[in-house]
Amino acid sequence: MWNLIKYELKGYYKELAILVCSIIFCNLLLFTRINIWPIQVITMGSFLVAFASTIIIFIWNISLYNRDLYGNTGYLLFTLPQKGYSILTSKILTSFIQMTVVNIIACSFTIFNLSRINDFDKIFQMAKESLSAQAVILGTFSTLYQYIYLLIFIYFCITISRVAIRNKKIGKFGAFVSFVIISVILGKLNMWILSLFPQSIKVNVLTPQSFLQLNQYANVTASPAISFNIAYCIFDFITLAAFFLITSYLLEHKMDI
Amino acid sequence: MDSVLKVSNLTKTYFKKSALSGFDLEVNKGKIVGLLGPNGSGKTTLLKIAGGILKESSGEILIDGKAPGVYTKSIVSYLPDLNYLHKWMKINDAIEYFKDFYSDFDVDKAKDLLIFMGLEENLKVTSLSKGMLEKLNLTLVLSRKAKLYLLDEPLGGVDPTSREKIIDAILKNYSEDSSMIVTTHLVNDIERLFDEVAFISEGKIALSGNAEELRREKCMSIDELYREVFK
Repeated sequence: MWNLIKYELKGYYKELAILVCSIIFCNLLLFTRINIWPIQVITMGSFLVAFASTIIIFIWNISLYNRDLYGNTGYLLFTLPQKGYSILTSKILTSFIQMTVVNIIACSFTIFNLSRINDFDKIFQMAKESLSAQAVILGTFSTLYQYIYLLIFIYFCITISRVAIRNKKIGKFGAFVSFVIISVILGKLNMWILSLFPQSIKVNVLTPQSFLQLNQYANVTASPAISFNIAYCIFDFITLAAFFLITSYLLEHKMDI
Repeated sequence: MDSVLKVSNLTKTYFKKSALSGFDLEVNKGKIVGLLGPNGSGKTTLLKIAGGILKESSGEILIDGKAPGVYTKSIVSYLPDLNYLHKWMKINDAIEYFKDFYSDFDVDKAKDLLIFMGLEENLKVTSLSKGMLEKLNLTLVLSRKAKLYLLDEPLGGVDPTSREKIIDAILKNYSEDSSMIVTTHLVNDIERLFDEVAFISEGKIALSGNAEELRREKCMSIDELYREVFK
């Protein structure tokens, strides 16, 4: 599996370098607008560059997956003595590494711009005191989980469509159709689960002190916590595991190249 | 004799079209088998199934006693009839790639073969002509110490001089411990390689046997026999 990651990264490091250079170039262009545009606009621009880079990496990884399933390189990949889960995990980890590299660089510029906003230190200190450690861990985990979930879900749709339909054009359209259909079914199931099992756990996102301050200041009586429906979370994990296992199985046993 | 590949009543259909129908074949250790037939006769389909990249509709295929899967991929060296290397690769990247994924890959043998084929390691895959690509792919495939080699049209689109080089490379690097299936319709150029031949037509074996015995029995070369069978 590590070799698969090595060659995925080795093969496309130039494209990744071009993307990183584009991020730096765009941010340097934004720097030339300092004292001309409001710093908030520059920060927003920098944030948009980071967001666009994440989307590019995401779409790029999906197209690389498509290439291996529909293109000639599939002969190279699928004749390797590799398990289906190794192939899938390597694709996910490669995407994750690329996304991390791009986001570290893009977000550094955004944070730098944020630091130039008046009272940033005060705002930062306030956020540090207000947000609980659980909130930070949860936020990070949730972002990574959502990214990986979406990627595996899309890989699943591409794979089942590839196995069911040999024709390249119809197959790609079939992947989109299956994505829409499965998303609708999952949405309905989620709603049904939420109404049937309303039990939830609460995770505090604000520290008790900041919650009290917020209550006094804004006269609110809201909870300092976010609710997580237990059944919904379990169902979400189960669907993620199912998508991963089915895709791995199809890659190893059912691919017709 | 040890059977490396055993195919029994193998069928592959694509919707209504049948590529293989009740195909039987046995390849023993140390033999080079020529799988001969016109375009669309089912040769590539059989090799793809044996290579583990196509699933049979019914029947059985066993390689070293196992159904195609991760294990068989580690002992089968498959040469497809197209360029399957990544565009970003140079020849030395391709060598490194095979070395990393196949424990039976012999780097020294690959380097010797590259010299024999007249290929330079630092050339980009995209800069190679069809003949050079065929030589490179064959170098990679033959540099493995595999139990079964599957060569799909190794002479397709290659000029006569390169054909000779490719055939010489196969003969020089073939080991008695291995078996090989070579598909082709350019029979005349390659028939000296074959220990056994199987003529395939519409997904079935039309005629098969020991190459030398068939020549003696029918009083004609394998190429002439090919023309006779498929006329």
